[in-house]
Amino acid sequence: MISQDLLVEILLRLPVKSLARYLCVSKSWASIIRSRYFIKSYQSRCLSRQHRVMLAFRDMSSIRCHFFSSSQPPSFVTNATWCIDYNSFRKPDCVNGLICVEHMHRLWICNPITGKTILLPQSGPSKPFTLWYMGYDPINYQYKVLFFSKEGVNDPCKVEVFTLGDQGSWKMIEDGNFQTPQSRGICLNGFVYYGARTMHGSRIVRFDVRTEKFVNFIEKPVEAQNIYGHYLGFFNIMNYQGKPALLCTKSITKHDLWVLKDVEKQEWSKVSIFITREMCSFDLIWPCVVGFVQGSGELIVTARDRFDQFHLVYIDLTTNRSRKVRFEGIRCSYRSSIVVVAFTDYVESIMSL
Amino acid sequence: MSSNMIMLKSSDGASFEIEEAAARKSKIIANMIEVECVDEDKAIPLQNVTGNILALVIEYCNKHIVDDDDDVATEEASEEEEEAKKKKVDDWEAEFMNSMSLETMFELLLAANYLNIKSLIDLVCQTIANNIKDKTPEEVRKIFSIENDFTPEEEEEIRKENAWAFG
Repeated sequence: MISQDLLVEILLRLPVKSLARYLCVSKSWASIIRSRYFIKSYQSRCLSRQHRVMLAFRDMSSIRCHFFSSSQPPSFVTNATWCIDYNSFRKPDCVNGLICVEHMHRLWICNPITGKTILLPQSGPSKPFTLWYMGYDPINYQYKVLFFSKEGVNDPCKVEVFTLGDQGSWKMIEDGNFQTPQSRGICLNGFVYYGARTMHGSRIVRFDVRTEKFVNFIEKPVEAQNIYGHYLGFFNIMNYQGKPALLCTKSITKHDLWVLKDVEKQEWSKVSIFITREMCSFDLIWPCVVGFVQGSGELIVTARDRFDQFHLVYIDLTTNRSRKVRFEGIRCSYRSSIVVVAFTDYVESIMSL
Repeated sequence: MSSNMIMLKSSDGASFEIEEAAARKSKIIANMIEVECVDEDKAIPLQNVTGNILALVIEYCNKHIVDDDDDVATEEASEEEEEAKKKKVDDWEAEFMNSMSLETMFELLLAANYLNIKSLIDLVCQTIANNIKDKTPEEVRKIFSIENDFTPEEEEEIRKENAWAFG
């Protein structure tokens, strides 16, 4: 029969669900699928595979968060891939297939494909002010959590990093750090980007997940600094064609997207987004830009109709055409607000299989 | 591009004539041509490949050599043309693999591996994966002629741990 090399080539092309089932084919299959080499190869293949959109919904009247994923805009989405509880204001992070949420003041990392959940150990007594970001190092295939904590508002932060793995553990990387993280973050190509107030003012911080160093403090574009949300530190960082981008919402129809073209030169370029009535019908209320489909560059907008039915609108910015997808899977409770987070670079992860 | 023809001979003695450019899809044959150990009147013997499988390999190589030529000729082809061409190749490959049994696929994979044709290895592995992805562990054991070396208890344990995957 075929050699092990060829068998590995076939197994690498199977979905995670099939691999989980084939763990019980034989001892040698189980040991191949669980080997470090296989996991690394599988994870690195993931990066070249097609990204999917993962949407996290939380109806604010409950603590339950539902996750939906789809490859391309389907006609409608029904079943939740998965759901988990979280009772924190901090929205979940989803990096390279794993999801991190805060629930009961503890951090949980979950793989929505396998449904397996890991409760992170506590690094110490919990402090009143904490903030965290999940990151992924695509060179060593490691997931990490960057964790800030402090006693008082004006105190310096203790900065720790948790590395997920066999003996996952916390490591303090800096004590007395004076930056105050403010925004949500994203992880792109091994770097976590988030907004923070630093000694030099408000900056976008770029953290290298592999070396665990804060490598750049990037000034925001001048034009973006005066926007209300940005001034206060509430802004949205998105993945735009593999680059970090800041969304400045000027009105319900007008948005400026500032794309970080060059990190070292701190160069930004502006993409103006104008959502017309034709693209997103005004029968829909509370439209909200949540992200961009990787590859196609389609803009994803969420909205609800007057029957509290949820809709996704995919807008192609080059042709100005849009597709509307009615979301069957979830219905808003009457008038309650819904938090939607879109992760546009979701890939299946084989971790913790 | 030269249109030299070379001869290939399968393990069961069948001879095939193939354009050199197409044969070069195989790294092994390309190497043989480079070091000039190919005698023009003599067929290259391929001991590990039977005639019916070699015919499939040659069909694949012939199809793809045409595509490579196109690449050179239409370097400035528009994106749409590129896409249409890629779709044509994809459709051809789907059709090509569709007519094959799993057994033939494994034989073709071994031949592609022996002849070192990377793109064909990728294609066959992906097709096999698509074919087996929804099967049960029992079916997979049968396809790969694998003996189950788990005790019933051990197997039950793994199944329980991964119950989500059996739904």
